[in-house]
Amino acid sequence: MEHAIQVRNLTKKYKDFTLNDISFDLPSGTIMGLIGENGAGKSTLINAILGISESDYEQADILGYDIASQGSFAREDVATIFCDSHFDQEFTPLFLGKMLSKVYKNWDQKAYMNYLERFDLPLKKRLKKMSTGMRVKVEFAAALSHHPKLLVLDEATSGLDPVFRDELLDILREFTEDEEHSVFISSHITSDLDKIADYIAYLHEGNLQFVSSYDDLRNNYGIINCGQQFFDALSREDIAAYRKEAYSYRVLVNNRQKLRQVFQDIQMENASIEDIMVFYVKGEKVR
Amino acid sequence: MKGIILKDLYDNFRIGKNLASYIFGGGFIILFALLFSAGVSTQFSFGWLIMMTSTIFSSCTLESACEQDEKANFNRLLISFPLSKTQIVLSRYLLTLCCIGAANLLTLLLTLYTVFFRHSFSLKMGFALWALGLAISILFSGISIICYYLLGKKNGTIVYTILFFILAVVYNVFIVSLQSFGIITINWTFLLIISIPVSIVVFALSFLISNWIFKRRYS
Repeated sequence: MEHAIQVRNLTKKYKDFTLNDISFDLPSGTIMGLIGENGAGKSTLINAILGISESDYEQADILGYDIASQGSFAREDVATIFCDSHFDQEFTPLFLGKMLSKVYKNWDQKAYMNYLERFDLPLKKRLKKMSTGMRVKVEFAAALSHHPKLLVLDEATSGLDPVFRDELLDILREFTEDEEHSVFISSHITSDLDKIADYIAYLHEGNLQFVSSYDDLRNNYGIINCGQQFFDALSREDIAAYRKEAYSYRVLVNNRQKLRQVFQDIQMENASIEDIMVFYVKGEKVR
Repeated sequence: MKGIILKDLYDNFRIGKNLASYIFGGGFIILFALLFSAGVSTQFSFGWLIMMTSTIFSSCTLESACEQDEKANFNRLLISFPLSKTQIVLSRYLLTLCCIGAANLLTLLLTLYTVFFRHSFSLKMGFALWALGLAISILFSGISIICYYLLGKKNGTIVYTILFFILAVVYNVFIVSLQSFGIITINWTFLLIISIPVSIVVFALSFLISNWIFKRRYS
């Protein structure tokens, strides 16, 4: 399968918010990071593409299945971990395995037990008595034990310490070693995405600003500190956004290689995902 | 669907406080029935016991499940399972039907015990009381599930309690009038012919309404 997710012109309207005309593809075997400020529509988009909420679209396929008419089939091969929706804290990992074995046709109890052992998780301890990190590990063990082809994480690493997050990123890397496996992950912690994402989708106020490969972002975006004269000399098309400071401009440019050729002695910083996000949200656009 | 049913059973019977409330509820019902049997006719206390047992134990599984789901905001995760929203709602109704079956099997055994071992009343009267309990439990379950889907656990429980109180009052007035004062004469066969089909229709409608509410909430 070429694409794990294919979305064309997906729109979801609420009274006070619209997820507007979203289109993107997630190629199989890759990790796409979904970034955006609070309220940008990340969870709404995830709900829509998983079929949790209904939406209007021209195409919304997960693993080749239309999400509205074949959502149940698609979700057999999808695993989800949400920051705001969890298993009952009274469950034990042992019971969770029993329950999920009745939910997923391809549940692999042996794999689940192996994950629990690998993560050093007690079988009979209730989730409420575990640390946050342990609970997330249980959720990962549960998510990975029906051999999903697509893992959808909605802020799943929020609230975890850096060491533990790094451990989880290793699990994601391991998961995507199989080229049929894909990950769609929304996160505020853009430094995590810097480590693992192949693609970045940026959502702002319900609109998808861009979907780009991570390498393209790193190669194309840069930050220039300059004065008024240089700012005026820059082609407007090359400026993604800028921030005016006391005596200078900080400019996020989106055509770094071209600018390097034109202005050979220019000082240009690399733009991280966080920089790009902050510029898009707080910076000004040229007209 | 088996997974959801298993989860709801766990929520009801493997969580200490929920299990304790079942034990407490059972004890309370028996105590109440014994107390009433001391002063009022056996038929009245038996009818009370049947109605309380079948109604409470038929309809309260959703309360514990609902409470646990709300605590963990489980529904979002639940809908991401390979099930349709209709299947999710249906699984709750299937569990409720199982509970109605179990509760009414228990009351049937109680009825047979009362008829054949205590000789308190005839088999016909015992069966009529049991069948009325069955109809009420189906009816009440159907209505209470809608309350939980519509209002959530907290408000659903309040409405559930109010409805149960109303049911208890109506039953008391009805039976006391019937047994003590002879005001009401009743054709049991006619009552059952009406009440059982009505309760089944209400239960079926309840499923359709709950399904609609659940889909609308997550649309």
